[in-house]
Amino acid sequence: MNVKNIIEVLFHSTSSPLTQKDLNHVLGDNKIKLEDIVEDINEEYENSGKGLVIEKISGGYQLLSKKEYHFYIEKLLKETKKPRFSSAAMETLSIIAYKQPVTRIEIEHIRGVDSSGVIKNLLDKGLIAIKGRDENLGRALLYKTTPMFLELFGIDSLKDLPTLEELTELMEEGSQSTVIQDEN
Amino acid sequence: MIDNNYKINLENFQGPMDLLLYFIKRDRIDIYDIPISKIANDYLEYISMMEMLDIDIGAEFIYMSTVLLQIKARMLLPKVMGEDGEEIEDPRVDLVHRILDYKRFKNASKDLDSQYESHKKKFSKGMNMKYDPSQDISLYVSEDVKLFDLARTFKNILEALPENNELDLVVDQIRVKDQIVYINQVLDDKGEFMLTSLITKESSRIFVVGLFLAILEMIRDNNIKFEQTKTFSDIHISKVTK
Repeated sequence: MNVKNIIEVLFHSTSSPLTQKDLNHVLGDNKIKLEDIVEDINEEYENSGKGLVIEKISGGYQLLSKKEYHFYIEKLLKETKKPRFSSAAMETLSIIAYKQPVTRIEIEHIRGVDSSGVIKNLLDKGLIAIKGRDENLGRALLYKTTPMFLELFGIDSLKDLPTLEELTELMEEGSQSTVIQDEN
Repeated sequence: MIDNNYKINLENFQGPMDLLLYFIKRDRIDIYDIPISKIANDYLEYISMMEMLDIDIGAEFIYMSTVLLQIKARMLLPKVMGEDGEEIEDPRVDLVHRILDYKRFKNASKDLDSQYESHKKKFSKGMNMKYDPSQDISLYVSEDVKLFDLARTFKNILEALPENNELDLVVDQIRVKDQIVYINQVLDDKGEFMLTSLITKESSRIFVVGLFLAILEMIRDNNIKFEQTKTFSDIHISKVTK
């Protein structure tokens, strides 16, 4: 059987990112490089103008619908939209993403505000997890982001996040003239 | 119920750091040379406004106001020289570092947000099964307009009401529940309205405050959305189409 077809049906059978390890397990050897086949499939999709694309996410590959079709999907799944994040949640999540492993105290020091509720929320949603305890005095809990965070945000690895310095430069350039826009 | 209401909306303010950043952006202040006296005044004005609206501000906000006042006081003192003749550190330094640090993560959170906004339009197989719509209210607060602006608009309205209108001892004459019913009536009627169209010179303070709380509650429940063309201007309220 054609390997490309096998991989394609694997993509159709799961919503989680498919990894090289998964493929090795399914095929019983490690001769086929998933990356190469994905490239092939994507090219084929692109050439035939399909609404699907395979992206590298959370250390694996995931078959996704293209952005421009979201309207139709949301219409079909109207009761099951993806979660919305308050800015408190987004702020907390980015502090954890960049500073992990990080304690609640550190998060609150940066935000200047109690964050226990938001943290609990993110824990419940499975976007962050407890990594262990700080070895320093107090042995506070340490938080980290989960693979589900990467998946939900479409990030392959934490290394792919722009650095805080890059972001500052990026945002400062545009911000002088768009102060009002910034407030929204 | 009411307590809950306050708590959720305060979360929307993002705390004292966010408020300071708001002032700095609004007035295009040089972050390395903060006019501490002006910032402290703006900050205290905000706190007293919240108190006037009977909104319980968190301890964090009070703490920051003491920090600001302390810095202000230290700025007034003649500059102290260290033993080696070096000038002792500017009293604003710690605050500036904290604001800059907060700003960095605020940028990161904006970036993450746009990353999410773009990625959430792509769906994987069975994506819908994984994330149940949550009942958690804090995730659903509308953020089209900063709540600060909304509160400020209400403050202006309250201040514009004639003084002789006060009869605050009439407790519970107007309930938030009634105001919600009222707003829903107006919305059913017109679909949308400008906030000030509901308030006349004859409106009592308790009526206006009740209206404010009702609007907050309806925003929280994601029943209405509000837009404001510019800061402190009238507020446009419409139904959320579900």
